[in-house]
Amino acid sequence: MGGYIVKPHTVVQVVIPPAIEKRDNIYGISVVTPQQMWLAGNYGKILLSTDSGKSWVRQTTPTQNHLQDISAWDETNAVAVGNGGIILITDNAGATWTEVEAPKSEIANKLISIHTYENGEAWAVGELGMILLSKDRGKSWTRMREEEDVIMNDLFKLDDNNIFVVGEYGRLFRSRDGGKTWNDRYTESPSSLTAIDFHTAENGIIVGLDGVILATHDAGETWSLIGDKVSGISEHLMDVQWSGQIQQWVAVGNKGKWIKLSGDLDKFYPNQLSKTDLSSHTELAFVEGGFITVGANVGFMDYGSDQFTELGK
Amino acid sequence: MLEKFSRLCVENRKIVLTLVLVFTAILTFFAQRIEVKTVFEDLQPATHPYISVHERFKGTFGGTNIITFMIEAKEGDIFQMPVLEKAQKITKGLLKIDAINEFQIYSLAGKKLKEVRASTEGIESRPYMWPNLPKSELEIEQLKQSVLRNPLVYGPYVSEDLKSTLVTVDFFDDLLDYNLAYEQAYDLINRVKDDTVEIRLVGNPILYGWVNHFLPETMDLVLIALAIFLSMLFIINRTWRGTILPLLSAAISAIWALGVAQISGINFDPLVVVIAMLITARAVSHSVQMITRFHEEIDNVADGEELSSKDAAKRTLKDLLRPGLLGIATDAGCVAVVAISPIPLLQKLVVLAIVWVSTVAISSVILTPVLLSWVKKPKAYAHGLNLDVLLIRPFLNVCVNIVATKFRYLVVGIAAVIFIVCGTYSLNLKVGDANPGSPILWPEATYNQDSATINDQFPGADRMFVVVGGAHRNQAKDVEVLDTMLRFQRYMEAQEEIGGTLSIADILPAVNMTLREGSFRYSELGQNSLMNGELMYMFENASEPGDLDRFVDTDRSNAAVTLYFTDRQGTTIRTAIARINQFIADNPQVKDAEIHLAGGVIGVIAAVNEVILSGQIQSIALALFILVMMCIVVYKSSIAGMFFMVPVVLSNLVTFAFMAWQNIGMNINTVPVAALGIGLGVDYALYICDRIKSEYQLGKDPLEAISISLHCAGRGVLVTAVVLIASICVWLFSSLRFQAEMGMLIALWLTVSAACALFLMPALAYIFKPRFMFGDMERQAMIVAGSDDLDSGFMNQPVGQDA
Repeated sequence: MGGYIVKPHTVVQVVIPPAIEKRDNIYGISVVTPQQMWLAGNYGKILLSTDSGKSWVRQTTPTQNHLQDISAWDETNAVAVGNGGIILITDNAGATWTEVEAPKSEIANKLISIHTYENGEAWAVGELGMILLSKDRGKSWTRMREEEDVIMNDLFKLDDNNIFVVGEYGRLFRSRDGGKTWNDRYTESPSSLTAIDFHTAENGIIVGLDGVILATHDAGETWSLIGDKVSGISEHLMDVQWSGQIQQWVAVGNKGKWIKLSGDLDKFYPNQLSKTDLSSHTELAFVEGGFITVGANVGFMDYGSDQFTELGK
Repeated sequence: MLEKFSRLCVENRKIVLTLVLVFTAILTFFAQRIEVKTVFEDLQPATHPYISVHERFKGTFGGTNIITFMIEAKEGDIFQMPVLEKAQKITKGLLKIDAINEFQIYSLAGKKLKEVRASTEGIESRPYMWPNLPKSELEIEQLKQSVLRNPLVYGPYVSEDLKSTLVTVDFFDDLLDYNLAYEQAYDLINRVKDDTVEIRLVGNPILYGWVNHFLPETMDLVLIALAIFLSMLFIINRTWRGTILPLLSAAISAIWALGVAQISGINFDPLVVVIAMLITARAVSHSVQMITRFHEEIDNVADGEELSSKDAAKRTLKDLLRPGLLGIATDAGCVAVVAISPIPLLQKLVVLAIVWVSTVAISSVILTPVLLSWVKKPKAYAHGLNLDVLLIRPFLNVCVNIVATKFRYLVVGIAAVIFIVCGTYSLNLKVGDANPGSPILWPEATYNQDSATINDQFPGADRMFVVVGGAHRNQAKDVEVLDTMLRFQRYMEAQEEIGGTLSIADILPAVNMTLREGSFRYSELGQNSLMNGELMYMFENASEPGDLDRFVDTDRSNAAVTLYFTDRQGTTIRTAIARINQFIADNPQVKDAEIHLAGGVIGVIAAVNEVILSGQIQSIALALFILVMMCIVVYKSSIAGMFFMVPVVLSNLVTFAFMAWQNIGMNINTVPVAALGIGLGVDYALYICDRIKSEYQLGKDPLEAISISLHCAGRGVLVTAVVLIASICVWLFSSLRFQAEMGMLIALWLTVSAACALFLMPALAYIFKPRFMFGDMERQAMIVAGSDDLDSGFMNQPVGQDA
C-alpha cells in the first residue's frame, strides 16, 4: 500500500545523575589541600573535588560496599575503608582505586575509621575490636589487637607511642608502645564513644552517643564526663575536631545538631545546622571560613553567616 | 441497480418513513436512558502485561483512583492548632465519602503514618496525631520534631518548607462513582476550609468529576452550535426543508446510535461529545448534498416543463447513492480499525461510532430524498436574501476559473509545499500527554493549578508501582532483593520528574539504625536475610496488622517500589520505563526475584501509551489502506485509490502538524478523532469527483463536467463546510480544553478537506485526467469527433462561463 505513517516522537531523555544523589549517605571526608578533598560513602562511592567542594567528580571503585571513611597522605595517595572490611588505596589521585588484602574476622568486619600519618603509616579501626596498621601506604595491613566483640569507632595517635582508640559502651583503649600492647577501661560514659581529638599534648576530648563529652587535661591519663545538662546537647555526637581558626572544638552529630566548645571546655554553644535540616552527620572537616560536614547530606557551615548550604546538588 | 433501488425507496416512501419513525420511537426510549459517565478502568488495555501486574496488586500497592488533599497554611507552617485541626477534620471526613477504602488513608491525623522509635523495650511505633491532636505548644513542637526526623513523612507527607501537608486516600474501584466522589470531596473541603488554610485536591476521580461538572455547559454549547447551524442553513438554503431536513437527519442518526449503544450496555463518555459532533457533521453534509442536488434537478428542467418532486427525488437518490454510501463506508471502515486496540474504551467508542456513522446511510442518504419527494412547491423560497447569487456562485466561479487557467498548477504546487512542510512538522507529534497537568482542562483550571502546586511542593501526586519479587515466600526479605530495590530507587530518582520513591527497603535501614543505638553509620540493610527478616519482624511487632501492606504482600514474596511522578507527560513516562528496563537489563536477576512493571496511574498510562504507540499509529495507516481499497473496488481502478488518498493524507498531515504545533499529544482521547478524520477527509472529494465522472459520461467535456460538479456538489461542500465550521467554533469557548482543541482540529479538517475538494481535486483531475473519471467506454461511444485530439482541444479552450 502507499500509506503514509506519521512516526510519532519517542524521545527518551538522557538522565545524568548528580554526583551526590538525593539518597546518598556520605560517611567520610578527607580534606588534603584547601582545594582538594575526597568524600566516601554508600555503594563504594568516592567523590573528588579540586575546587573546594564546588563540584564533585565520581571516581571508579571496584566495590559496591558502603565506604565509611577516607583519608589521604597527600594529593595523590589516599586510602578508604568500609563495610565487609574493605580497604581501597590509590597512588594516582583516585584515577584508579585498588582493593588490598587485610586481616578479617569471620563474624563482622565493618571498618569505621581510617587515619593516615607521615611515612605512609595508616591506622584503621572497626567492628570486633579491629585495629589495623599499615606502614606502606596501605599495601599491607597487620592486626594490632585480638578479636573482641566491641566496635571501635575512632583512633587518635598522640605521638609515636601513645595511641587512643574509642569504642562501644564507653570503652577507651590505650597503647603506650605504638600499638604493641593495649590496656582498656570503661570511662564514666555508659554510651558508646564515637570520636576523639587532642589540640595540645595535654588537652583532648572524646564525644559519643547521647551527647556524651569526655575531657582530659593530663594527656589522657584521666577523663571527666561533661553532662548533657552542662553542654546543652543530648543528641548523638559523631565527630569532634579542634578548629585552629576559631580556637574552639567543633562537634557534629544526629538530627542536624552541632556544637562549639571553648578550648577550656567551660563554654558550650549547641546549635542546629538549619531549622528544617534534621539529617544526621558522621564527620566534619575544616575548610576556609567554616567546615564541611557529611552524612545524610553534604553541606558547608559558614561561620560568618551561620548559614548551612548543601553541596553537590 | 442504483435506479431500481432509488425507485423502490421513493415509490414506497410511506413504508420507508413509517419504518424509520417506528425505529426512532423505539430507540428514543433507550437513548434517553444512556448513562453519561467516564470509567477510567475502560482505559486499561487488558492484554498488556503492565495491566495484569496492576490488577493483581492495586488493592494494596495503590490503584488509579487515589485522591490527594493538600492542606496549606496561609500564614506560617502547619504546626499550629488551626491547621492541624483542618488536617484532622479532612481525615475524619473522608470516612463519610462513599466507596472510600478506609485502610488506605494516609495522613498525619490518620493511624497509618507512624513514627518509629527505639525504647528500652525495643521498637515502638505510634501515629503522629491519631486519635488526638497535640494538646499544647510543647506537644506541637514534639510533633514537628518527630515529623522532621522521619524521611518517610517529612517530604512525602509534609512539604520541605513545612507549609503544607498531604492527605491521600484510595477508593474501592468497583464501588466508585466519580461524580459522587467529586461532590463529596469538595463538600468536605468547603465545610472545613476557612481563612487559615488553602485546601487543594487532585486525583482521577476529581478530574473526571470536573469533566462532568462542565456537562451542563457542554450541553449549552451543543444548543448554541445547533442554533448557529440552523440559522445559517436557513439563510443560505432559503427553504425550511433545507434547514429542517439536515437537522432531522442528524437527530435521527443520533437517536439510533445512542439507543443501540444503551442496549449494548455502552456508556456515553462526556469526552465523546466531540466524536458525536464529528459524525453529526457527516450526517448534515450528506443531507445537504441531497438537498442541493434535488434543487438542481428541479432548476435544470427547461421552462414550461414540470418535474415532479418525486422524480427529482428519485434522480437525486440514484446519482448520489454511490458517493454517499462510499463516504459512509469509508468513515465506518476507517474508524472500525481503531477497535483492533485492546483498550475497552476505544472498543466501545468504535461500536458507537460505527453504528452512528452507519445510521447516516438511512437518516441522510435515503430519508432526505424520500422526504424531499413530498415537497409541494419545490421552487418557492422562504426569504429573499439570495446568497447563492451574492457569494456562493461567484466563489465557485473562482474555483472553476482556477481549474481552467494555469492557476491550477499553482494550486497543486501550494498543496505540494503544504504536504512537505506539514509532513516534516508532524514528525514532532508526541504520544501521550504533551504538557504537565491534565490535557483535558485548561492550564488555568482549578484542577491543573492544584495539581501544579502539589507537584511543586511534594515528590509528586501521580504514582507508579513496580513489583519486585517472585514465587517464593519471604523473597522480599532477601538482602540482595532489598539491596536491589534500594539501588533501583536511587537509579530512578536521578530522573528529575520522579520526585521520590518508597519501598520496604527504605524502612529497614531506619529500623537497623535504631537497633544500633541510632548510629547513622548503620543506616543500612541488615547483613543477611535472617537479619532483615528480624528487622521486619520488629517493625511489624511495633505496628498494627496491615501497616506493611502498601510495601509487601502477606507472604512477603512480592514488594512494591512506589515511584512518585510530578507529571504524566508521554516523554516523562517513556523515559522512566526505558530506564526501568535499562536497570533490569543491568541487573538481570537477583536470586530468582524479578522486577515487574507496572501499576498505579502512571503504570496504566504507560501501558495505554505503549498500546497507542505500537497499535494505534499503525491502525491509522491501516484505515488509510481500507479507504484506498474501497475506492479501488467501487471505481474499479487502482488510480482511484491513489487519487482519493491525496485529500486524506493532506488533511491528516495538516492536522498532525497542527497537533504538534499546539502541543496536543496523540493520546487515548485524540486517537479516535484522528481515525474518524481520515474517513472525513475523503467525503467531499467523493461527491465532487463522482459528479465530474457522471457528467463526463453524459457527454460533457472535462471542464464543463468540472464546472457543473463544482456548482452542484461543490455548493454542498461549501455550504456544509462553512455552516459546520461556524457552529464548531462555539467549542473554542468550552471550559474543557480537550473539547476546544478537538473543535479546532475538526474545523481544520473540514477546512482542509473542503479546500481540497474545491480547489485541489478538480485541478488534479483536470491535469492528470485519470481514466476512472475520464476514460469510460460509454463516453467513447457517444463521442462523435475523433478522440485523439480531445485533450489538446480542451486545453486551448477559453474559460467556460458559469453554467
